[in-house]
Amino acid sequence: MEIRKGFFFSLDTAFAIMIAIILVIGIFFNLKSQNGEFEKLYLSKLANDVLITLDKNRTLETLNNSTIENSLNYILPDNLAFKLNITIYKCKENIRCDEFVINNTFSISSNIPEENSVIAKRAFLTFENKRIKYFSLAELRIWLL
Amino acid sequence: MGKGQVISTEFLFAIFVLLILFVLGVSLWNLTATRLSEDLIKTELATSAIDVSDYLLKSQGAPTDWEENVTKLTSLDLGVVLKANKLDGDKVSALLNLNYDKIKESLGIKSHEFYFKITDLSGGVIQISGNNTEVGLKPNASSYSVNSRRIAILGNEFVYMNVITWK
Repeated sequence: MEIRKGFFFSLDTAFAIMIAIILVIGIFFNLKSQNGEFEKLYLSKLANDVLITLDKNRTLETLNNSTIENSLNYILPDNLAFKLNITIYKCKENIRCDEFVINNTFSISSNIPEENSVIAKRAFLTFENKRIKYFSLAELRIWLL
Repeated sequence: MGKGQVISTEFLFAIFVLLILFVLGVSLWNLTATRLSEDLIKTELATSAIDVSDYLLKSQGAPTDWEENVTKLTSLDLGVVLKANKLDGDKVSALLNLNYDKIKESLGIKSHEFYFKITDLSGGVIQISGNNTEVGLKPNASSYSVNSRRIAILGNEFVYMNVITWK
């Protein structure tokens, strides 16, 4: 029986190369860049920085919407949007203070649809006459525009 | 009459197609290798920038009064704050006067370069005692660089502390 081989097995070679190329293309387009993960990590660090600095310079404890909003607009880079929720608690009974009730909540936002946001939280105190008046929890969400 | 393969049109066509496939394969392979290599560099730089900025902003350094005698500074323990995110002007001044290699050693930076500066929120470099708060090597235009820009307080002002790692 006659064995017929053509073109140095060119079809087999072409087939093998095509499979290799498909694999390379597949790897190339499915390579997940880690940049997105670092972007989230960095944003998370930034969100924490914002809450820590606003707490350290005693802006948060004012519990004043416009003061806090002005500070947020001032320190956050222009390419970031934010939403800040603050829940304020107070003692249920002034003397023992072993139970808290929600006194008030408010929210400040840059009014831009939220997308892939990161969250930072921080608890802080408000004093009056050297005594704790409120316990508050701030939750800041920031995301890239 | 039989024809030899080496002169056949089909053979030439097959070689042509194979060559194209080969060139395409090699190009894609190189592109993928380059992208992988870039990703590795960017990952290393980003990790380092975030770690270093985090450390500088959270630690007072060891010993905590290292700025008074920099020879006491422990390796891998260099911080410039009074407390988290509140920069200590004396420590920042001491950092500016440290040798570049000493800073890199104290921050655990080995395989890339480093540049540090503190700016106001509009980008102007802050001065302490008449000196610009910047130290290290500025990145080249052609280098890969990552800037970890963190928000801090210096005195009573909000500032950006920039840690740029580059290669």
